[in-house]
Amino acid sequence: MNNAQSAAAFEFEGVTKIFGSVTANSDVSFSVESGTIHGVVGENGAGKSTIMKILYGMYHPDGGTILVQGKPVRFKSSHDAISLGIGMVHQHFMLVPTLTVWQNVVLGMEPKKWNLNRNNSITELNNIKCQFGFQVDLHARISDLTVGQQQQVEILKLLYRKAEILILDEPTAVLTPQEVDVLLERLKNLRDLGKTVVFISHKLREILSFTENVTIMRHGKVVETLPTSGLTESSLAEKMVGRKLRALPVRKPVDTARSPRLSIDNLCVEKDGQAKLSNVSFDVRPGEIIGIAGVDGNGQHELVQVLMNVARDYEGKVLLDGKPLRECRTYELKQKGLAVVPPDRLKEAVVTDFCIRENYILGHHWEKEFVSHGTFQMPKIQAAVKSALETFDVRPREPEWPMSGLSGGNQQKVVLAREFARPVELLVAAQPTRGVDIGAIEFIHARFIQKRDEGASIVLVSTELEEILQLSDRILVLYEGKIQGQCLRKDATEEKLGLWMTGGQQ
Amino acid sequence: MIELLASTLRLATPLIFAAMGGLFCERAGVATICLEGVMLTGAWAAATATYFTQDPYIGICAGLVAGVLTMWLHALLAVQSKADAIVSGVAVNLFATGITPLLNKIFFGGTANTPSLSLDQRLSNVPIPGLEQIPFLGPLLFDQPFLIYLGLLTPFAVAYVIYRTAFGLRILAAGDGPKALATAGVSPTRVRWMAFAVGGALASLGGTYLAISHASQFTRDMTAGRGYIALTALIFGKWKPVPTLFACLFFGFFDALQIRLQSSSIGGFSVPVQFIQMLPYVAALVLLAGFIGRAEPPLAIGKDDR
Ligand SMILES: Nc1ncnc2c1ncn2[C@@H]1O[C@H](COP(=O)(O)OP(=O)(O)O)[C@@H](O)[C@H]1O
Ligand SMILES: [Mg+2]
Repeated sequence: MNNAQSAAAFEFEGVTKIFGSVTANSDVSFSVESGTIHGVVGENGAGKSTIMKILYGMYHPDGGTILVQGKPVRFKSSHDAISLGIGMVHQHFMLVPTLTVWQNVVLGMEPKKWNLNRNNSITELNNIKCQFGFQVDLHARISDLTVGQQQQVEILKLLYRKAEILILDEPTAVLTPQEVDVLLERLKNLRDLGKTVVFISHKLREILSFTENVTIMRHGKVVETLPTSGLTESSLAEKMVGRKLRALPVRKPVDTARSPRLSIDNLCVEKDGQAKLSNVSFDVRPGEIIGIAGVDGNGQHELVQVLMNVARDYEGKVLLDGKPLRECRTYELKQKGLAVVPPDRLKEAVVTDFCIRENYILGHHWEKEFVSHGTFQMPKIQAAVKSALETFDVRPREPEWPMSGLSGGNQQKVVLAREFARPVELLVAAQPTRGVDIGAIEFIHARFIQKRDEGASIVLVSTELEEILQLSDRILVLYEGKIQGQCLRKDATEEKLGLWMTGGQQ
Repeated sequence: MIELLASTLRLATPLIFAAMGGLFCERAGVATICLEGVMLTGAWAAATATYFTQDPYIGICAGLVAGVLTMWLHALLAVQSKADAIVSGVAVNLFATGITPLLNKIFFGGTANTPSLSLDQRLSNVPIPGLEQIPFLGPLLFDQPFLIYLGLLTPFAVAYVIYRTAFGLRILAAGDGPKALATAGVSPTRVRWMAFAVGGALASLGGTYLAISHASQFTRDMTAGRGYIALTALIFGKWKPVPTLFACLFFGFFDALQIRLQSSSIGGFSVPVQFIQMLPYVAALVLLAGFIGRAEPPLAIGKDDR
């Protein structure tokens, strides 16, 4: 490594950022070598996004200094950061859905003021595309693109702005395994061309596989910055969480003699003339977890809608304890022990403007335990919520705390606390750990196993193979609305599932 | 028949200006129901300035200034202070209905109207050489005040600005993805102030036309709901300039038809005039309910994270 390479692209010195009562970053100091890929790991809420948004000029630090290429800087807005060659891809994409790719890329740095059309921007964009090996149609509308393609557009935006420092905030959280590989290759390529890449993630495997250095953050502070080589997944996880991780409990074998609780026979769903699910059949016994794997958009959404009893327009049979599911009212099902963890937490599981208490009783707010003579029994509700927050380790333990003020992991814990407050017969869980930190994932997984051992039937829909492999007793892979393959967990390998997920046959 | 077409043009012109003004503001992501108020202040300022200077072109300029200021009042409330855009729009409309008679009383001693302009003070007709020679058609369609031609050309100019300029791209982004615009280093608030300036100027022309071209004075509440019709046309046109032009012509046509029918009777039976006056609105309802697909407003409208 020569001197030029080991120079710092940028450096934080004692940077502090306070939001009201939350200290998002406290005394953060680390430096990033130019021409390297630098990982930043930490649980949700550790302050990773905040420190990088400070570098990008979106937030102003309450203390400390930032050095870019050795010089102290003070950014008034992102504009200043962009002009110094700093670019950021946000956790939630910042694209205008109704505009085309080239329009999004040039937005804010249009090549001309007047007579702006594709032709005068396209040559330059095509050059960038070729140079960095991108494949995306410059004339396509953003809303027609897959998430992976949208991410390419975000990176294209940075390159068009001649960014030398590229910050990517949890770029793989939304991608399929294949897209992740493509992205990682692309980032390595960018590094080889001399760019500095900052890669925020809480997926340790990715961090280990391709970063040179890593900064570990916890509770707004830097735990350590060190070279990645020599680290293992478990040592990194321990530094990140601050304690040893627990192994999943050993579980009872499935009692194959019991008759199925949920049985699905030739389920077909059509939408706008397109088959979304065709001839899907499977059974779930009590005390069994069925894992539904697959790349997002292969019918999982429709299956979950049917199982949540939201979509009732389908062919085939869906029987719960021998009774057609769609003939039941949803609140009857809830009383009988249907628990659901919907995939889009903020849209389908909670009301973000409500407080924890209100979300906790949502859907059960008419039940006798909470209501008498038409009014809420506040003391009872408060007591129930308090004890639930305790059992599910939700932070803060404040029933009146607004849902929007919780981290993703804590929001999900509130959802689980609500769904698990009554005996569970059938649990339908989709992406239960999306956007949730390691500590909370561990907790949620342990709860699933516990419910299973108590005799619940669980349908787990997830795009995370690791999660599927860890929890399921039996695994089904959905591909284009069909069951492409299924096997018991002991026979499953990532290769086999990966093959099915992309439409291959065994 | 040709008379009906000419009358359609005359009645559609204020709608076109107002709708194009509304288009700029709404595409930038802010609901703008205050077109009515902007037209009204524009109309008063234009009539008053023309009366004092004897020059309708100075009147137009005064109308533009008044329109931009009124629209900026909406910007101050809805863009800068992030007040609810509907409430702010209502406030601006109420403000305009109040301030115009008040100023009128200060300037002219009465609240009802400005003094009448003589024919040569109003905007004169500008015949288009050649075309106005066409028998029958020519004098009726091609011998009009220039604001009418301008009204017909404006939607195409607006389409160019919105779809083909950097400013337009930023307006679209402010309306459909203000956060994306902000991360690209451009302040959506600034873009909206500028869009509102253009929007206010255009909408004021609608009022100006009413006061010094269509009529010869400002009369109290003379816009009579045209701002709202323009807004409806904008929705019919799905917030796109050229379709909106056609929606405005459609409303102009039914308005012209309505006026024509008022003086006629059907089979010796005269229909009560109120029914006939309902015609444009019934047409609007039928169209809205039956023929126009779902119209998607700009995504940022009605969101509080503006
Ligand atoms: N704009 C904001 N206003 C108030 N609190 C914030 C804001 N942004 C982040 N926080 C808080 O700061 C902490 C760190 O957040 P963040 O940087 O997003 O964490 P990470 O990206 O590591 O998950 C969290 O507790 C979060 O709730
Ligand atoms: Mg984050």
